[in-house]
Amino acid sequence: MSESTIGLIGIAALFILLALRMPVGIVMMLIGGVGVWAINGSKAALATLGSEPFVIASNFELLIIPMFVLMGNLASISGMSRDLYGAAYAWFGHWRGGLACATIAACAGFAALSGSSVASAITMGRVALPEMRRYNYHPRLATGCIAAGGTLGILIPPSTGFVIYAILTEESIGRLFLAGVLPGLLLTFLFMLSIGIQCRLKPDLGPPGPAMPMRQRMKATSQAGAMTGIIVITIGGIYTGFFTAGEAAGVGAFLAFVLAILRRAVNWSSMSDTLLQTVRTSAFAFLILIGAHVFNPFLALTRIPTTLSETLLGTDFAPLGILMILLVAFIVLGMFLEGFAILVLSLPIVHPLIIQLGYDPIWFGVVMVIVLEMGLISPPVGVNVFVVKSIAEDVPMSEIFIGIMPFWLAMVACLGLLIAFPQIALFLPNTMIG
Amino acid sequence: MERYVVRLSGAVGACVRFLALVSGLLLMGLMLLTVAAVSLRKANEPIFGAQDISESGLIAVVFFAMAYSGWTGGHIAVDLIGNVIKGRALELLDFGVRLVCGLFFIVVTWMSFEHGLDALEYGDAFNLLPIPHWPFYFIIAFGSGVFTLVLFLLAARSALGLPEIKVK
Repeated sequence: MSESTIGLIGIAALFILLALRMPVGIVMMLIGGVGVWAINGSKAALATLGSEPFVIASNFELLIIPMFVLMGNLASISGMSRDLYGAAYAWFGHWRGGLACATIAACAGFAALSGSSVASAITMGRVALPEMRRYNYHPRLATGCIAAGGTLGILIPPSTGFVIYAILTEESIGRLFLAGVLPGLLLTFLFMLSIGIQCRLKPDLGPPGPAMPMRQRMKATSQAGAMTGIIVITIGGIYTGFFTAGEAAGVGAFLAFVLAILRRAVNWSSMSDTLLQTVRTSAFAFLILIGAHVFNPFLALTRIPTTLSETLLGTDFAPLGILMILLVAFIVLGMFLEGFAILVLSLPIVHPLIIQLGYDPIWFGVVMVIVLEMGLISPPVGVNVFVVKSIAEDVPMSEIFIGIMPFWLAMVACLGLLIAFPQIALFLPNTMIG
Repeated sequence: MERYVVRLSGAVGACVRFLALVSGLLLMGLMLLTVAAVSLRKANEPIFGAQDISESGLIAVVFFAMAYSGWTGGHIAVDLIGNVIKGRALELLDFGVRLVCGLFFIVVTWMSFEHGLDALEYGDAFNLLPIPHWPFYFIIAFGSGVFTLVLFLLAARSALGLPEIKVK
């Protein structure tokens, strides 16, 4: 049996096991291990299974994952999400659709403290949804903006999506983080623009709230100052080269911990919940990375990525055409597969191709994360939609999906702008100091 | 049988939660180490081997929490078939999948243990500090072993039709 045939059987088995609900990390380890066994013998396969868990779990750069997860969870318990929403509410609340805009702005702020979209959607949803209900917001707009706003969590740094992309492609985590800043702000603006257009067309979707006097606005803004300080120190520290992305994560988590203590949010119960949630999320991310590092050598042995690259490059398609095919494929895959699974399964094939096509891998990382974000709110398995449904149990899923559509189109617009103007993503990393 | 599985579930649940808490406390320790390392480096007094301590600590953080993540359904899976198959058929499917995962993790546990013995024999150590590799291979083997136990117990729960473990 040829190596390519073994590879194709392996990929088919991988999708079957994924469909049977086997955890993604274990599927990749299993197929990778069996595949290496079939091609290079049992000694190589067993050596890989014995060494990769150590290699990945002792990778200093990966300390960033649990640290940033911890920072986000500490930010949650210290009530920073409420402060953020309060500040955004003070400035935008009196607009038509203003509470939805405030939700998006607060989600963007919380995304700068948390690398997880699900965490952003849950945290902001719990704060924002009751307020939007109080002001008779249409459930479609209220739930749609929370689900969409939550997706900013994996675009605006720190982002676990970028960390996994960086580790699998050996790109710089710091450069990827900075590359996510301007597209994240652009997408935030496009989401708010989408709310504005919706409310202009249908004013009863989001009635305006009461206007606040300037003094109250300044007070609300100053309450979110501590959180802004943490964001400036962590992201600013990476940008100026004061510390590495990993160190920024540690310092950010520490500052969030100090703030939580100062706000008397730390007790044994809240801390143990925070720590358990943090290590639970981190362990699954590491299992996926270990799986990817067992599966990818197998894929390389089959030469499938090289063959696929050569075939695509041999066609008459222009690089932009191939890029479009890839993006459409990712959007379709995003409807059925979890974002991290798509990332770890496709990168070994796609990353070399993208480089051969002449695209910047940092830019592509940002594009890919936006496509994964689209998967988070696409039917039938959009994770964020289920998260919002768990908060707004009385709103039908169909209503949430309809509410999401305008935001999904805003993401398409953001992708279009990034493809037309790659500098949106590359400007900050290209001017990075250190 | 069901009674034993429920009892064992209680004991295993408490055990993996304790290990995860240890993992969390170690993570807090690494957080403090990172802050100290950055501060002292900026003061031209770098902590010698701080990276080695972080790397070895990270292994314990990850593998002490691996079983808890599995026990509480933290390891992500693609839930497409759950929309098609329901009830007893889904439970039996989960039983089969978890059994296969458990059997596979016996191999992972065994190989980590073997690598630990090799590291002990050859005296492998981290870069700057003479911290040996072998205890950390054994931590991986231990964590994988507990995860294996969790996978078998979850398989038994599926076979008996017991409810999934819920986490806050």
